[in-house]
Amino acid sequence: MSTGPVNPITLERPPLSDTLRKHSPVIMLGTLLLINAIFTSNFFTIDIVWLIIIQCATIILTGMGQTMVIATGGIDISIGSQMALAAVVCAHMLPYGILPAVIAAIIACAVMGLISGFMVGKLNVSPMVVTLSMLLFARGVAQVLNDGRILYIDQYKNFEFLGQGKILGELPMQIIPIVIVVAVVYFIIEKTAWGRRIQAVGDNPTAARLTGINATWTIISAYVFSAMFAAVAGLVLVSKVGAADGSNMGRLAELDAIAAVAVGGTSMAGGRAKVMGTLLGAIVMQLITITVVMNNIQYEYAQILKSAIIIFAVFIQRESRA
Amino acid sequence: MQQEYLLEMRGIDKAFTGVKALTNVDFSVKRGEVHALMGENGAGKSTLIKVLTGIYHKDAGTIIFDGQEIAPKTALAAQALGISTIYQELNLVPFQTVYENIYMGREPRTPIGTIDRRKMIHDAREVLEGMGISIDVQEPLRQYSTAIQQMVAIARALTINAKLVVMDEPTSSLDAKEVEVLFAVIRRLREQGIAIIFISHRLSEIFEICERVTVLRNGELAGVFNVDELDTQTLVNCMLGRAFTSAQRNKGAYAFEDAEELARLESVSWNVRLNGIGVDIKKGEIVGLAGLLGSGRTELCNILFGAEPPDDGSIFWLDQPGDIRSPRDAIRLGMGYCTEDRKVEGLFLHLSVKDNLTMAMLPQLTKNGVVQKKKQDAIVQQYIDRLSIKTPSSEQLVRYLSGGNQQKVLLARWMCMNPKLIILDEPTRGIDVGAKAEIESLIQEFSAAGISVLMISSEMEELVRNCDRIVVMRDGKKLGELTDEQISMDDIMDTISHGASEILTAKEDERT
Amino acid sequence: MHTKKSPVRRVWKWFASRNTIIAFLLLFTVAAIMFSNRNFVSFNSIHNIFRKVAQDNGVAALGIAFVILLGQIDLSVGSTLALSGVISVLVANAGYPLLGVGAGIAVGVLAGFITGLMVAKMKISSWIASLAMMLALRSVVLLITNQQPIPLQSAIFMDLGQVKWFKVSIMVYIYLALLFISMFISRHTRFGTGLYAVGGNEEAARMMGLKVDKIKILAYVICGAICAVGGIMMASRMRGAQPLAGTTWETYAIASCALGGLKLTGGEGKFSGVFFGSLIIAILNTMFNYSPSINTWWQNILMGALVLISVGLQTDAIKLRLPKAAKHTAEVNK
Repeated sequence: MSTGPVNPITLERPPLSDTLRKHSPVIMLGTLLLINAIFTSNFFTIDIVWLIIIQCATIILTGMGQTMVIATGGIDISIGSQMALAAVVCAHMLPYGILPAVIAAIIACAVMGLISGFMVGKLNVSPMVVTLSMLLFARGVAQVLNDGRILYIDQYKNFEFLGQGKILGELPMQIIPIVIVVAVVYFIIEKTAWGRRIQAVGDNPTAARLTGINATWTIISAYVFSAMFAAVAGLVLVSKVGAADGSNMGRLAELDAIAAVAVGGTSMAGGRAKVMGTLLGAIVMQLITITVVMNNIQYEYAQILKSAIIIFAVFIQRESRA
Repeated sequence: MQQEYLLEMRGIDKAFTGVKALTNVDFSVKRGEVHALMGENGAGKSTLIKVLTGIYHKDAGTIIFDGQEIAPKTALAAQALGISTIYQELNLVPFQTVYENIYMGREPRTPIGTIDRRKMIHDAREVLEGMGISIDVQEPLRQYSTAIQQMVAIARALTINAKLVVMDEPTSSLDAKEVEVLFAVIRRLREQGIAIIFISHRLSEIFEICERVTVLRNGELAGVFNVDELDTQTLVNCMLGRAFTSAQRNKGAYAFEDAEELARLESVSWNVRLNGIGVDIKKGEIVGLAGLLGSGRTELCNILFGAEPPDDGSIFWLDQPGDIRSPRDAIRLGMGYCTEDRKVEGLFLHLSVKDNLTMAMLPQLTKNGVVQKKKQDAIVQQYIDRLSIKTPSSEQLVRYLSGGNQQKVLLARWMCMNPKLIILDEPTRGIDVGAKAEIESLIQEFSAAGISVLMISSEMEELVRNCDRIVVMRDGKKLGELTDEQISMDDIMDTISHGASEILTAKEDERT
Repeated sequence: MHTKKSPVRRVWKWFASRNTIIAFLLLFTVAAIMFSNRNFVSFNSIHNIFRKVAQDNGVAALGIAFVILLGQIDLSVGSTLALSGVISVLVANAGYPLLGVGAGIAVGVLAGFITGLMVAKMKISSWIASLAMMLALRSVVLLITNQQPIPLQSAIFMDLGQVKWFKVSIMVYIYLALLFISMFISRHTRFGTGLYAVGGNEEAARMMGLKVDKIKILAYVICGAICAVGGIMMASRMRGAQPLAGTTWETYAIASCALGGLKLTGGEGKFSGVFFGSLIIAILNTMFNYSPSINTWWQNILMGALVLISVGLQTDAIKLRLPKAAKHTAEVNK
C-alpha cells in the first residue's frame, strides 16, 4: 500500500514472494468471488452487497483497532468482551439519552484498553496474557451490570436506527460507522506522526527508543483505540439485535478480527499496518460465511475453513526478520 | 603415541556469498596449552571458531583433531568429538539448578529409567570441587554471578570429556576478582591436559594466562607467537597492521584550545565496562575514540545519549549538569546517535526511506499531529540529493537499500534535526569504499558547520584522517589524548600498547 | 564445602518464593468461607471442592501446564476435550466402551500432534495456531453432534462416573493419578527436564543437544491426551457428550496455571502449584455458587483480576524495584 512504483534502478529487487504476499488479500477476494460466480446462484445482486455491509460491520470495526495493536507488535483478544461491555453500558444509559449512552459505552471500554495498554506498554507483560485476563474481566463487568440477564432496548427506536436503518434508499446505516472508522484509522496510520510511531515501535523497539519515541505511550494509545473501536462495534451490534446480552455478545469476535488482520497482510510480528488490507480481509472472512450459507452448507464448515485460512495467512506472512 | 598438536587446522577457506571471510588460515593448538586467538572485528576469529565447532562448514582445508581428520556438521557433533565452546552469552538455562544445567540432555538414569538425581548432584559437586569451586549445586543457576555461571558451563564441558575448550571472550563481563577465579580454573584445566582456545581483547590477560598467540587480520593469518618472546608493541602492531601508515590527515593544526565546551563526561562508571572515565567535546570539534574492542567506547556513547544510566559520574552539557535520562532528553538537547549495528538498533526495516529519515524529526514536521507531507517530502528530497542516497524513490522500503545508503539515511535522520553533536559508532563498517569517502567528507562538513562529532572507529586510519583530537581508551579508562601531529597510527598504537604494558607491569608488581 | 539445608530453611525458602502469594490467597479464601459458612470444614464440603477440581478445569489445567512450561500456549483444550468426549461416547454407544476410551484419547493425541506440528515445524505463534485449532475442533464437534447432546447408552461407561471408593468419587482418584503422573514426568524423566530447558532458554537447549521440536510436539500431545481424559470423564459424569462442553475452559486452565506460579513465559513452575491454582479456582467457584450473598457474575471479574495481578507480579518491571537477592559468591580453593 505504501510502496511506490519500483523503478528498474532498484539496487536490490524486492523478491517475488513479497509481491505475492502484498496482494494476497486481493487474490483471496478474487478467488472467493470466482467461486461464488460459479457455484452460487443469485450471487451478484445488490442485496448481497447490503448483506455484506451489514454483517461485516463488526469485523471491520474491531479489525481496525486490532490492526493498530498488532502493528505495535501486540495483540488484543479482549475485544469480544469489550463489545459486550459497550452494549450493556449503552443499554443501561439509554434512558438518559442516546448521546450519553454512546459516550459512556466508549469511555467504559477506553478505560479497559488503558489498563491493558498500561500492563503491556509499561509493565512489559505479554499482550496475550493481559488481554486474556481482560477478556474475563470485561466480560465479568458486563455480566454483573446485566446480572446475567438480557436487556431489551427495542423501545428506543432512534437508537435502533444505527443498526437497522437505511439511508439514501437501500444503503444500510452501518456504512456510516464503517466509513468513519476506516477513514480515521487510515488517516492515523498513513498521515499522522502517531501512525508512523505505532509502526516504528512494532518494527524495532530498540531503534524507536533511540530515535526518541515514547514507546510506552504509543503502545497504550493503540490499546485504548482498539477498545474504543470495539465499543463502536458493540454499539452497532446491540442496535442491530435490539438486546444487550452481557454473557454471549461478541464471543469469539476477536477471532474474526485477528483473521481479518492476518488475511489483510499485516505482519503478526508488528511493524506493518495494512488498513485497507484489513478491510479486504474482513470482507473475505464474511464472504466465506455468506458463500457457505448461500450454498446450504452447514455454518461449521465455514468456521473450519476460516481456521485454515488464518493459519495459512499467518504462515505466508511470517518471515525471517533478518 | 600422542601427537604434539591436539588440533591442526590447515589452509582453511571460508566465504559468504562471494566475500572471503577466511583465506588459507593455519591454526594449531598443542595439548594442554592455553592458546590465544586475537584480531580486531572482522578479522575472522569467530568465523574460524565456528568452522571448528561445526556451526559453519569450511570451503577448503583440513582439520585434524586428536590425530584424526574431522568435519563436524553441527555444534553437537563437535561436542561429541571433544570440542566444547563456552559462549559469551551463556548457553545455559537460568531457572534450572546448577546440576541440572551440567547434565542437561544426558542425565544419568536409574535402573528403572528415571533420572538419577542423587548421582547428578553428587557428580556435579565433585566436578566443581575438582575445579576448586564449592557452591550449592541444588540452587537455580541464576542465583549465581556470571563468573560462577561460566564455571558451570566449563564444568558441563568437562563432563562431556572435552579435550579442547573454546572460551569466547570469557572475561568481558567479569570484574578483576572474578577473572582471577576464572584463571585459577583455567590453570587447573591445563594441568589436567585440556587445551584451551582463549579469545579476549584484554592484552594483559593474554600475557598472564596464555602460552601462544595466533593473530588474524582481514581473514588471514597475521602471525603466531610464543608469549614469552612477545611484547605488547609487536602484538598490537600485528593485530592492527602497519601496512597503511600513510594515512593522510585531512586536518590542519588543532584549533579548539579556546573553543567553547559542548559536552563533558566526568568520572563515569558503568558495570565493569567503564571505570571513571572523563571526556570532553568542544563545539565543532571531531573527537575520536580509539581503543581495542571491549575498551568501553560504545558504552561511553550509550551513556552520553541517555540509553543507559551511568552507575556513577556526571554529564555536563554547555557547562550545565545535563539531565539526560533517556534518548528523548538527549535528542532535545541536540544530540544524534548513529549506532554500531544499523539493522538491530537503527533502521525500521519495514518502513520506507522517507519514514526512516524523518522519524526523529516528526515532532517538527507535524501540524496538529498530521504530518505535513509537502514539508516532509521537501526535506527528504533535499537529503537524498545532498547525500546522494541511491534509492528509486523515497517510498522504497529501507531494507532494499545497500549498506552505504542505509547508513546515509541514518546520518540524514540526525542531520535534518540541526544537531549540536552527532555520535557515530563505526560509521563506515560494512560500507563500500566510495560511500566511505562520502561519509568521511560529510563528517568534515559537520565540523565546518559547527557541529561536534564524537566518533568510534576500529579503523585507525579513519580516525587519523578525520579527528581533531583522539581519546585513547582501555578497559573503560582514558589512557591519553592525542592532538595535532601526535595523531598518527604509530602514536595511537604506542599509547594503546604502552598503557597495556603499564597495566601489565602493575599487575606483576602486585604479584612479586 | 557444602552444607545440607536445614528443614527450617527449606520451609522459609518455600514461603519466600512465589508460592507465598498462592498460599496466602488460599488461606484467605478458606478463612473467608469458613466465616460465612460454618459447614465448610466438613468431609462433604472438602470432598466437593476436590470433586470440583477434578471435574471442572483441574484436568485441563494439568494438560495446559505442560505447554505453558514450554513457554507456549494451547487455547484448544476446551475444544479437544469436547471432541474426545463426543468420539468416545459414539464408540461406546456402538458397544465398545473400552475402545471408546481409547478412541477418545487417540483424538486428543492427534489434536495435540497437529497443534504441536504447527508450532514446532511451521513456526506459527502458539496463540494463533491453537486459536485456529480451538475454532476448527469446536466446529467439528458441532457438525458431529448436530448441536445436540449425545446421550450415553453404555451402562459400564455410565456407571464409571458414579463409582466411589472409600466415599470418594472416582473422579478425584483419576485427577490425583493424572496429577502424580504429571509430577513424575516433569521431575523424573528426561522429557520433563527438557521441558524446563526449552521453556527457560530454547537456544541453549538446542545447543545442549535436546531435540527441541520433538519436546514441543510431545508436550502438545500430552496436553491433548490429558484433555481427552478430561473429556471422557465429563461424558461419563454427564451421561452423554455435550456439544458445548469445555467452552471457555482454556481461560480457567490458564488462570489456574498463572495463579499456581507457573511463569507464562516458560521454564519455571511446578505441578503442585498448578494443583493449588485449580484449588483456588474451585474454592472461589464454590463460594460464588453456594453463598447466597454474593452475585455469581462477579466470578469472571475476580478471575480476570486475579490473573492480571498474579501475572503482573511475575514481570521484571516490578521485580526490578524490589531489592535484588544477594548473588552467591564462591570460594576458590587455591
